[in-house]
Amino acid sequence: MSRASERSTITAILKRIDLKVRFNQTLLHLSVASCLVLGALVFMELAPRLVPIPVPPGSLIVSAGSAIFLVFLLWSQLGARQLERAAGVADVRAGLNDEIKSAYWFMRQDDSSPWIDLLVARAAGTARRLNPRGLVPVAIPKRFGIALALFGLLQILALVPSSGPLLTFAVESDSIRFERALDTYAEEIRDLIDGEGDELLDEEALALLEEALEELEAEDTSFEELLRDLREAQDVLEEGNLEMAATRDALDELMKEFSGSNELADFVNSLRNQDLSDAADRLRDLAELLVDLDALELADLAELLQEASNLDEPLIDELLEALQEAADALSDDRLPDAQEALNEAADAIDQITNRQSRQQASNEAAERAQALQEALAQQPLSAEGQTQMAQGQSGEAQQGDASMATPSSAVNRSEGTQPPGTETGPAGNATGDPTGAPLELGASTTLEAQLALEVIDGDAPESQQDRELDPKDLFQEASRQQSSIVQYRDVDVPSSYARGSALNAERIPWRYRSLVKKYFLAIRPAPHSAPGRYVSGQDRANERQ
Amino acid sequence: MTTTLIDSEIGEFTDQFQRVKDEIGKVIVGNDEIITGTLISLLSKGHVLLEGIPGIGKTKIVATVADVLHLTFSRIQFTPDLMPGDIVGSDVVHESDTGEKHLAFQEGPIFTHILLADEINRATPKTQSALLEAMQERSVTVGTTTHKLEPPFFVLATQNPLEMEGTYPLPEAQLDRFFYKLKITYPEPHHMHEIMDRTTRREEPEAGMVLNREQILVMRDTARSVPIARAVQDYAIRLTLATHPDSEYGNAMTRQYVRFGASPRGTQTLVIGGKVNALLNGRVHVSCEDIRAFMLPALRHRVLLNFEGEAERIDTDTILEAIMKDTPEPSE
Repeated sequence: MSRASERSTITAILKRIDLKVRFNQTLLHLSVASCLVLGALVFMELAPRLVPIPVPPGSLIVSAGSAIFLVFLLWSQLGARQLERAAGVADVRAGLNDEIKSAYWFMRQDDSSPWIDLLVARAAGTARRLNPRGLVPVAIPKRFGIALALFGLLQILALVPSSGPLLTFAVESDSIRFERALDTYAEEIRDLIDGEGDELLDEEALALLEEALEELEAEDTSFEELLRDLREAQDVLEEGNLEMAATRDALDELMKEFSGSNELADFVNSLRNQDLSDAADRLRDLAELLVDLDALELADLAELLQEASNLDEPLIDELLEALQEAADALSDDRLPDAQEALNEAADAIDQITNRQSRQQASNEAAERAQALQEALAQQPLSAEGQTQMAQGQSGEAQQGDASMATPSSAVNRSEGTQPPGTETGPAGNATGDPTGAPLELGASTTLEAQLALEVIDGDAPESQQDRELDPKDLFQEASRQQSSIVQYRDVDVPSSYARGSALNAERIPWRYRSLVKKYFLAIRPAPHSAPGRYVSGQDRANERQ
Repeated sequence: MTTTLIDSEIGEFTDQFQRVKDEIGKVIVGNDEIITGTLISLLSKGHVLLEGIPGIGKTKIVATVADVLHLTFSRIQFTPDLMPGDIVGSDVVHESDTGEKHLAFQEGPIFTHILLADEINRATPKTQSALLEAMQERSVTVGTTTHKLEPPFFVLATQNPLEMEGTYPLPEAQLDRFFYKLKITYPEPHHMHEIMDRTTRREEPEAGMVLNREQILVMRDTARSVPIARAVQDYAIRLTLATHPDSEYGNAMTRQYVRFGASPRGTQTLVIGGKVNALLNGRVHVSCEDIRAFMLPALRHRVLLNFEGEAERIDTDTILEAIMKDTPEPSE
């Protein structure tokens, strides 16, 4: 056998052995990669069940692991062949005492001597007897067992429903969630103000909202001040809701008046669909069609308009006045004037439409302010927050300001921390349960219930002026006006009024307020009296005399 | 030279070696490692230091080796009053037939093929050093004249590790010149029986000459022709470097107990001894197994213990065995 063929024989055998070694190495690396990826997946499945930590998605881990393994595989398999290593493997596995390794080294050196030729010849003979498959059998790494076990564990974990982390870092987690919620709501309000807020929102509401946002960004703002400003802004924003409800009721009455008319059928349909813009257009169409109507039809229309204009609805008085003018003009056969009056009526409807749009924007802002308040109320009370809260409460108590609007959840929480016997809730309400028991509310009423004003003798406001001046009394006012059938979409607004008015109620009933004041004035110590000497009201009266 | 010739040369090497061993075995019982080590040293152009307690056959082994080899043999009993001139020889006054007197070099006992330096540590360092040049350079300088020693020059020295009083331990430089340091241990009981049987009879066994000088020289050349791959040579180097306390290859024991490690001469010993061992095993290449086979006799006298090692009576063989265990083969 020639020298070249001997060397090629050795090289061929070494290549085959190298291939086997690489394959086993790939299996080994695959097993390691599988263990790592599955281990990471198990960890990601387990960790959220134990502690509240954010974990990346499993697909990301699998993708990253696969990509790294593929790169490593390409790098290791496409690299230079390691025949020297294969020679070492052959020597060790076959017990050849470094024969193949020595021969291969001299082959690479391209040395030639009788001794080296003999060495290579002997090594070639030995190599021919080698069985690469038997020498380097496919070895399934034991780590695949571990990977299998991890996979099984993963499947089991997937079947077991998660019931939240066992160990919670509630303070930190809630704080982060709280901060995020605040940021979100504040950003929404800011967007609203920066958007069409200047046009749609009331100036006072805008100022209050901006003030609240500035306080939210400022770190030294009191918790209570922030809540109060938000509450005030919300109140201002929601002021027009009852007016809009009354306007809709008035329009409904108007719709009923026109329900029998053929000429006003389109207008009535638009009102029924609460599409006021279309209703205005229909009135303008009617104004143009007046010239096509005969005298009888005009007379009927004039009569209808006249009847409708007699409605007692001050909120749509401009519309009613325009209809009155139209009725008069039709009665006098002044068609151009009638057309002009109908167009004015259409303009009045447009104005109502604009007011509705503004109020909708206000409601939207109010909802966000309400959400921000609720988020603030759910804040985990830190020591600082509790101090601020306590300061806020004491300040409120000293000032006797009843306008503090604390959401019910916050109030309930603070009540739970009060000592027994300390009343913090409004008088006459169940929120002042000193034991901290859950609040028991009455049975819920349906929305269609006709709310009636329950006036208790002696609890009525002293004067009509006081009642009109109190914006928070609008809800009761609406009840009095029998307009308290509230649409579902508006139910939150009056209910928030109800909550606020209930919570902000004075502890001392107003009718006894002067009596209580007189009592404390009567028992106050005299400016120059000796310490510890009791001075009764009678004594002081005698002194004054 | 063709591979066939080499094959036959290797076969002849192995046969001759085996014949010598068999012949020695007729006189010496057991001590196979000692005999093999001695012969490997002879074929590797080295010298051997035999260490053992008195009466276990050190001198007998050497004498038997000399008997089976058709070589000149001298024996020097080293004593404290032995002078260098007693070993290397000296210029003496000669008188010619005409009555003219002149100085002529009188060769000492060192001018031989096989020199038995019995109890070498009993001579003074001055006398011991007389062997230095001879062992390394294979020559003797007396005055201004250098006298070459005829190859093969093979020194077999013995020393007794027990009776240390009045002895002069061999200096490191001289120790390093010994190819192997072979330790002769007490024979096994069954070997003792054999020894008794052979030495207490009327006729004692005698070994015949089986190998002449030329054959030994050829065998020496053959041994040095064996190729060694770089990886195996690297293994030998790493083993040697591992005996150095400040080497990156050293293990904890080396760093703790060793003052100086083996010199490059130690690596040469490993490689050349490995080549002979490879031939004896019928291989034409040196394997790591060949390197390890005689690592202990090759390096045990080249590793110098520090104070702590001496105090704790650490055996250098223990350190070398740990090094062999800790140094990986260049395989996978």
